[in-house]
Amino acid sequence: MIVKSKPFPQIRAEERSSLVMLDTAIALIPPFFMAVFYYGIRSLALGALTVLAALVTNWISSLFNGRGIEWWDASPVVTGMIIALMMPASIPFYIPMLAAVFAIFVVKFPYGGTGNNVFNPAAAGLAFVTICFGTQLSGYPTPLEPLSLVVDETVKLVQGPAAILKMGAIPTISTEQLALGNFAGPMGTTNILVIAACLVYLLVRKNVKWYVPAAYLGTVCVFASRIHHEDIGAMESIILELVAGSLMFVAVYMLTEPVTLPKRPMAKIFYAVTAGIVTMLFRYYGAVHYSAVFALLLTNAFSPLFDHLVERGNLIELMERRADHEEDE
Amino acid sequence: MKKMSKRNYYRRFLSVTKGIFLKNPVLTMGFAVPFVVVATTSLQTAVGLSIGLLLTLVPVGLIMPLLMAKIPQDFQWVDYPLCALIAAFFVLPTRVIVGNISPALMDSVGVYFSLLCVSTLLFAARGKTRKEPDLAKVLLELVKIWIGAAMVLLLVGVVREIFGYGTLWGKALPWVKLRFSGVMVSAFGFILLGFVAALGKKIHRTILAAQIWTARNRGPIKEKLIELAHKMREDEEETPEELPKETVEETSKENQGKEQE
Repeated sequence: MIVKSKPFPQIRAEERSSLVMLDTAIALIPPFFMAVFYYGIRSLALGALTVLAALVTNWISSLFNGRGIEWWDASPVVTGMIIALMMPASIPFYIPMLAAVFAIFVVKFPYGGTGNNVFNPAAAGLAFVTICFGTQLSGYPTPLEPLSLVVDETVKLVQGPAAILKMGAIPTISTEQLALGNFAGPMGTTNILVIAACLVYLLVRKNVKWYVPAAYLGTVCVFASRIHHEDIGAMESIILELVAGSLMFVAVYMLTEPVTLPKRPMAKIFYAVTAGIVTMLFRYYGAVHYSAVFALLLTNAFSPLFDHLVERGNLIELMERRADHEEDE
Repeated sequence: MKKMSKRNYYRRFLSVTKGIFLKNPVLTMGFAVPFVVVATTSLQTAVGLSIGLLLTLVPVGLIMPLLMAKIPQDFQWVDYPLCALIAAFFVLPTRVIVGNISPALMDSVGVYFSLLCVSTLLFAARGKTRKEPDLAKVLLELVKIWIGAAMVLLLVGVVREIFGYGTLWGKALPWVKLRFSGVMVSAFGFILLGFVAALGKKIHRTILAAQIWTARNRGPIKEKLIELAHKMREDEEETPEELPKETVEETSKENQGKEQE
């Protein structure tokens, strides 16, 4: 008997975790370019060191687990890039590196490594450093003022629009500046247009299902239109909520991570809607920085539950249909 | 088989220290986890909780089986409140005494010292037998359980204090440059507990694997040595045949000459 190794007929495209991660890594390069444009070469060094820390930790953890080094695995690169882009450009180098080490060594490998993590590693790493170094993460340098590699106390740090919104005030940023990402914030999350373009790339490459970010951002928009400051309209509130902070970045790169997402389409929608609700509740009533990240971590824990509920719902529907069918007969 | 089990020192060690390493009450059984995860943030807290645990666990474990043997079957449901009452009877005076000796220790433990009265570890150690138990054996088991729990408490306390505050027993450690306040969060307590449990399992598996490896390799090495010895003997016997022809001829001529003489 001749056995030919061909893919199964229902699999039309070559889809591997390494390729998915590689696509995500490619989609993370444009925000890095923008970060270099706004904050200078320091942002690139920050990214390189974080990725290096993630890679080295991944290799050491692989060896510790008794596996060989998986050179093709691009997931630590993605984790490192996400962590770096969510940081202020002026942050000391060791903080994102620590976040990367925590993400890989504590959140990813104890659960079995790539493809088995329950929580998003980058989100967990960010949450850890937010709790440990909260004050250093809340001040951002002004864009278009390139930073040197060594940042001293002379660098002026300001609060981001997300923090201003949380305090009940309205950030004074023009629409042009908002569109161009020319305002203080995490170095890779303020460029909304670039992130939107990357989302299109990921959609075209079929790495992201459109309804996941749509459901998440839609829920955020509904909340923002209903609950907002008296001095601004619903539309202005929606724009501010979407642009301020890291919400859009989380929606495109972190919420859509295939490992932590539920498996069924309806479950994915419920998951995204829940993440949106929790994010807005954290934004309105929470005291933590990076509310979207903490909301994502909380929703990650319930990810299998959504699948279970949807499967159970389908089963009940099927049973009802059968019962109706039997009654008709 | 008996000889084999006697030779297996690791297994003997595990059975002797059952409750400390094997079937550790916190790591394996999951008892008293809230105290480890939430309360134990420093070495002082760990010591305070360990003292409290000793003073509740041992009396409860000794008195409860004796009491339960006297209580009729219909009233066996009183074991839980009784357990808490006995623990409280010992905890309250201890709190006052230790508080007078070291107020800082009691402050660091806080409300968790009193909460020890309702610890799951006490309920697990209360015993259910109606027969009067051998008190010496029970005491030994309780002490082992306490050592197991205290060991985890102290380990978690030390790690969290060093990385969280940069101190040990309140004294600053100059070599600790970075301090992670996130270590003090309860979520990190769970992570740390998980890592300690995983580390224990890893050590256990490594020792077992080493034992299996040595057991497997013992046989072939012995056989190889015997084979080698046999070969050496055979070589010694075969040497005259392998000698060069000239020397063989010379020796044969010499032998012939001797015979003629």
